Amino acid sequence: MIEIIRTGSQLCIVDLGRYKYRRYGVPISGAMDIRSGVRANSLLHNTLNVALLEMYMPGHQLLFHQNTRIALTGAESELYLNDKRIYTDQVYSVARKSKLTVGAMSRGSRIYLAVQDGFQSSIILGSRSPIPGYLNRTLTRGDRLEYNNVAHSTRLSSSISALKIDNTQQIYCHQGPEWHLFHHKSQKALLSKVYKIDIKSDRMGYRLQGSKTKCKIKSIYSSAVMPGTVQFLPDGLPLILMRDCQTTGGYPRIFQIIEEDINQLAQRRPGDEVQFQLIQGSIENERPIP
Amino acid sequence: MHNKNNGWISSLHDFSYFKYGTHALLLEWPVARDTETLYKILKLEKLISEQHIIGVIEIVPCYHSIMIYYNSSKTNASNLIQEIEAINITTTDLNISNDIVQIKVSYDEVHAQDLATVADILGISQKDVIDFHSRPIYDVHFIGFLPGFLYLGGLDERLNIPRRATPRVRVPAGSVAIAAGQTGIYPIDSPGGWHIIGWTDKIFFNPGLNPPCQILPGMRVKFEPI
Repeated sequence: MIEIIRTGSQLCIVDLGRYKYRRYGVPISGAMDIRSGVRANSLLHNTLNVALLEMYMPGHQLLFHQNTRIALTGAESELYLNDKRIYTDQVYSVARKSKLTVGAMSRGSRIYLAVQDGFQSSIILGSRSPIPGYLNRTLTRGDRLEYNNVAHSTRLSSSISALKIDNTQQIYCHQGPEWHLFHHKSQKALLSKVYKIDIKSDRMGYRLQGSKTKCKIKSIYSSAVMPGTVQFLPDGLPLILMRDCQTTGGYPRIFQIIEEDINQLAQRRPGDEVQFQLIQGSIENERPIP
Repeated sequence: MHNKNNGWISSLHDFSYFKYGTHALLLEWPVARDTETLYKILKLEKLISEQHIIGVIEIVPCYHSIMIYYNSSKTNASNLIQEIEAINITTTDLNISNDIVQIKVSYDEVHAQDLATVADILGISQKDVIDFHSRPIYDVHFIGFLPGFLYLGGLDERLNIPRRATPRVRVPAGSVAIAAGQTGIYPIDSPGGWHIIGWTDKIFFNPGLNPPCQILPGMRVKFEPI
């Protein structure tokens, strides 16, 4: 068992997310930075979809009540196991009564903690991730989470490399279905502007600040959207949908951000800058990311 | 089949394809939200599911589109387009039930926070709003926006009203609302920009059940004033 002693900003249980229920309006949810989540589990040879903790911004402290092995991935942060400095992308054995502290983050904003075999919260519709509005998996001080202290090592054939958090403003994307409806002047404007991630951003979506683009197309009949879809809001600013986003939406879809850059965005914070960059050429040539 | 140079690819059928990022394929019919398009969509969705195409994860229908999500390590959009083009669309029947799900709605002032405003804006009486809303039989087109939020087609044109200028921070679960020529029920407390004209205790979403939504696209519902 692990006990939450202190939380910084948001702390929640996630896995790879909830698939096959989008037709019922259920969001995918799952780790914001999937690559780092998968990486943490792969370091422990866990199966890839076992539950881990996603810790947003510094200030979290956790107490282990059982021995286990852990791996941390994601943001470059000052991490301490009791008083000893520890690092991301390594496996540590943790004795019971140890305290993990997540301190200042020099780059990135989300740290993933995997334990041997994963956390044992209940599974709803095939996943341990939250369902926004129904199933709140945000943890607070005093909350306790179960995990096994017997290791059944499930060997993983392939390992996945760490996300290199780049902090560049360029976000690569493919054109969205309504992009061609925009006048080329609006298209040019949307690609040349540098936006700032607004403070009112969360796991559902990132609002952007910046100069507004004029466009006559205000809405469409609702159609499917997914994490990484960039919608054009009636106020003239783009909105980036993230992992907890709704399954359908009525705003024009201008871009679809590539998987790797959704992970990069997951490591950004309010105030960081974003500029959209269209990828030309065939969609099929992009290497899939698990 | 040809590429229109704006990402859209035409089809032998009456819809077009759009390769939506690296793991989704969008199929879109001409803009509509009528029963005819709904049945076309349900038919194609059924046919695609019956093909058991390798790599297809799930299919999400909307008013005049279908999104096919696929596993990009098992297939790609071009393969899927080939498979779909080969489907003979005329060969299937939809088994749509004739049943109409009755939903009891309370249109009283306590719950119907916007009933008076809606009547004012539309220049009709509150009784008219209730009559126009509870008379039609609505088609369930699809589920989206929130888990279990039904998009219903068939709203009386006299109830066509724009969304609220300022969305509410919290629309209570069970609220029956209208906006932009649509009507729906909020299954959970949620921010929302539609006008609340009634309330029901019927919520069709339960994450403990599979499927988690008890009303599905193609079914029909009617509101019954209490």
